[in-house]
Amino acid sequence: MTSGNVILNIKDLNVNYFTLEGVVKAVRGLSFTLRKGESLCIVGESGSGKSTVGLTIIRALPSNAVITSGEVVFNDVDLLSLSEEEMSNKIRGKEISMIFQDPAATFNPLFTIGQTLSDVVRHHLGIKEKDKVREHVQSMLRTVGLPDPERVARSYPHELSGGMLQRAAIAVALSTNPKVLIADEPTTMLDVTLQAQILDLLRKLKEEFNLSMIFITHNLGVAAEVCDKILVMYAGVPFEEGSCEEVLLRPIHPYTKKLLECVPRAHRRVGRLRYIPGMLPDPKNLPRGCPFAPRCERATEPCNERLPKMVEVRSGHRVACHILAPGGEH
Amino acid sequence: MPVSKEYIIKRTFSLIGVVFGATIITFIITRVVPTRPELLWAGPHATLEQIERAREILHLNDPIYVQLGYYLRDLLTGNWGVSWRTKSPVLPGILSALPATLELIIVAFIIAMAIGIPLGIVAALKRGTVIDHVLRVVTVIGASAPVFWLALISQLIFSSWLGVLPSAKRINELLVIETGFHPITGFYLIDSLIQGNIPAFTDALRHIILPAIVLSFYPMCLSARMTRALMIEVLNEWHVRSALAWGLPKRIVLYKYALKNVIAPVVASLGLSFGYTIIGAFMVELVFVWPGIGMYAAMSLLSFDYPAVVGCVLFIAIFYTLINTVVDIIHAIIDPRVKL
Ligand SMILES: Nc1ncnc2c1ncn2[C@@H]1O[C@H](COP(=O)(O)OP(=O)(O)OP(=O)(O)O)[C@@H](O)[C@H]1O
Ligand code: SF4
Ligand SMILES: [Mg+2]
Repeated sequence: MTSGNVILNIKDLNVNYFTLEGVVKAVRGLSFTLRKGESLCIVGESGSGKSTVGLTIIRALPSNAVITSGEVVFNDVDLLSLSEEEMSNKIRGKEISMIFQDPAATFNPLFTIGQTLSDVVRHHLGIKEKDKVREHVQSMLRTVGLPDPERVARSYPHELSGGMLQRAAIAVALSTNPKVLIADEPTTMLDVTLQAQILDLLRKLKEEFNLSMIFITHNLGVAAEVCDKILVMYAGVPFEEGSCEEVLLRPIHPYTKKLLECVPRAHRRVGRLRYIPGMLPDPKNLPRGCPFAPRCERATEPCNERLPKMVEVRSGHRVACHILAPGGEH
Repeated sequence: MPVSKEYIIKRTFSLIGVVFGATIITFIITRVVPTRPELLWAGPHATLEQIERAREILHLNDPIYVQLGYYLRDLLTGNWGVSWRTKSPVLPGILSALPATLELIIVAFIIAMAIGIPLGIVAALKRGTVIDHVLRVVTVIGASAPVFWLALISQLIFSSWLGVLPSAKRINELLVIETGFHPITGFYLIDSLIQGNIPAFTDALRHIILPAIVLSFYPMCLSARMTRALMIEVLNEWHVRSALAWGLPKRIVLYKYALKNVIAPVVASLGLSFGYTIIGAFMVELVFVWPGIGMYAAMSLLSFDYPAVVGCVLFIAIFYTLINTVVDIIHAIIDPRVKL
C-alpha cells in the first residue's frame, strides 16, 4: 500500500445536521482511501449519508450541516482546513467535481447549458476569448456524446431530456479536467436503457480523463458494474469495505448479505422482489449500539451496547460488526 | 421570446372586456347619482334656455341606453367628451397629466426595487439574525401603513420641520422662468437633462423625492418580503448546489444565477401591485399637489365632472391592462419556460 498512490484520504469523518427537531448524525466515524485511477462505490439505502459524504468532500454542504471532526486529505492537503476562497478557486469543480441525481434540477432553468458551461470554463481555466470558450464548450459536449453540441449549448434545461442533461452535467464536471469525480446516483432518475448508456459513458470517460471516481448508489448491481471497490454504509456508519469481488462474492457483514439477497437478478425470476424487513432507524434518535441491530437477525448483547469498529478481515477487506469479536464466528 | 397568436388574441379580448365593463359601470353609476349635470355644464349664470340647450347637447333627454350608445360611439372615435370643469376635451386633459403621474410611479418603482430587492437578499442571507427580524418588522409595518398617512407625516417632517425638501408641485416656477426650462416629453427629469439644465434637474429631483419615496413604500416592502422568501427557496435548490459544486464562486452563483430566479416573480408581483400603486399615486398627488392624473381625477370627482371621471376610470382600466401585458412580456423575457 503505497501512500503516494492515494489521492483522497478520508479520516474519521463525522458530520451532523442541525434541525429544529434535533441533531441528525448523518456520518459517523467514516474512513476510506481512494487511489489514483480507482473507482469506489458508496452503497447504502436512502438516508444512509452517502450524499453527505460527497458534499463534505467538496465542502458544499447545506448551511445547517457541521463537520464535527475528521479530515479530508486530498494530495496531502486537508481540504477542511482551506478557506472558502481557496476551495472555490482551486479545488471545487477544478480538482474534484460532482454530478447529481436529478439531471432536471441540476441546471438553473433560466440559463442555457452553454452559459453555465462557459462560466465554469472561464472561471477555472481562465480562458477569456469568446471563441476559445465556445470551442471548449462544444468539444466537451461532443466528448460526452451529445449530438449537435451547438444546439445543446443554446438550449435551456427544460428543452432537453433527462439523459441529455445528465450528459451535459458530466460535460460541465469534466470540463476543467478534474482528478476526482463524485457521481451521486447519476442514473437513479433515468430509465433503464439510459442508465446503461450513462454508466458506459462514465466508464469510458474515466479512462479518457484518467479519473478517480466516487460513485454513490443504493444499487449493488450498479456498483458491481462500475467499481473497483465498494463501501457499504448504513445510517451514517461504514459497515463493510473491500474490492468488488470480496464484497460481492464473499460478504461478511450481515447487512451486506441482506442487501445482496435483495438485488434482483434476471435469471432468478421466481418469487417477489425481496427486501430487508424493517426500516432505517430514526436519524435523530439512533440506537446506542449498532444501528442495524433492530433489523439484524444475528444481533447479540454487545450489538446494543457499542458501535462496532472497522476491522481488517482480509487484505483490503474491512468489516464493522460484533460477530467478528473474539469468539464470534462468521 | 415567442409570442403566440393565442396570447395576442387573449390579451386583446381582455382589453376590450375590461374597457367595456369599466365604461358601462362608471357610466351607469355617474348617471344614477341624482344631480343635474346640465346645470354644471351650462355654468352658474345660465338662462333656462341655455340649460335646455345643454340638455340637448348632452343628450340628457334621451333614455339612458341611448346616452350610453352616444358615449361609446364617441369613445371609439377618440372623443372622450368635454370636461364640464375645465371646458376642454377629456382625453387631451388626461394625456397631459399622464407624464407627471408616470414619472412619479416610475421613480417610485425604481426606488422600490433598488432598495427592496437588496433588503430581501440581505434578510435571506442573514436569515434568523437580528437584521432579518428587524427587516421583517419594518416591512410588515411598511406594507400596511396607509399611503396618505405616510405622505402627511413625511411632509410634516421633511418640509415643515426640517425644511430640507419642498412639499408641493413638480418644480419651482420661479426657476422655470429664470432658467428657461420648458417641458418636451413632460417627464421633467428627462426634459431638464435634454436641455442640459442642471438647476432644473436638481430642483425636479428635490420635488419628486418625497412623493416618490412615500409611494414606493408599499412596493418596496412587498418586494423585500418576496425576495427574501424566494431567495431562501432558491438557495435550497439543487441547481445552486451544483453550481457551487462545479466551483463557481459564491458571488456569481448568488448574484448572477440565483438572483435571476428571484427577480422574475418579484417583477411579476410588483406588476400586480400596480393597481394598488395607482390608487396610492392619487393620494400622494393630492397631498403633494402633484399635477398628475390623480389630481385631475380628484378635482373632477369633487366637481361632479362626469365626462372627466368616466374618462379617468376608463383610462386607468386600459392602462392597467397594458401594464399587465408588459409584465407578462418582461416575465417571458426573463424566464424561457414562460410561453406567451
Ligand atoms: N439539509 C439537511 N438538514 C437536515 N437533515 C438532513 C439534511 N440533508 C440530509 N439530511 C439527513 O441526513 C441523513 C443523510 O442524508 P443523505 O442525503 O446524505 O443520505 P443519502 O444516503 O444520500 O440518501 P438518498 O439515497 O436519499 O440520497 C438523512 O437522514 C437525511 O434526512
Ligand atoms: S453488529 Fe450486531 S447488530 Fe450490527 S450487524 Fe453486526 S451482528 Fe448485526
Ligand atoms: Mg443522496
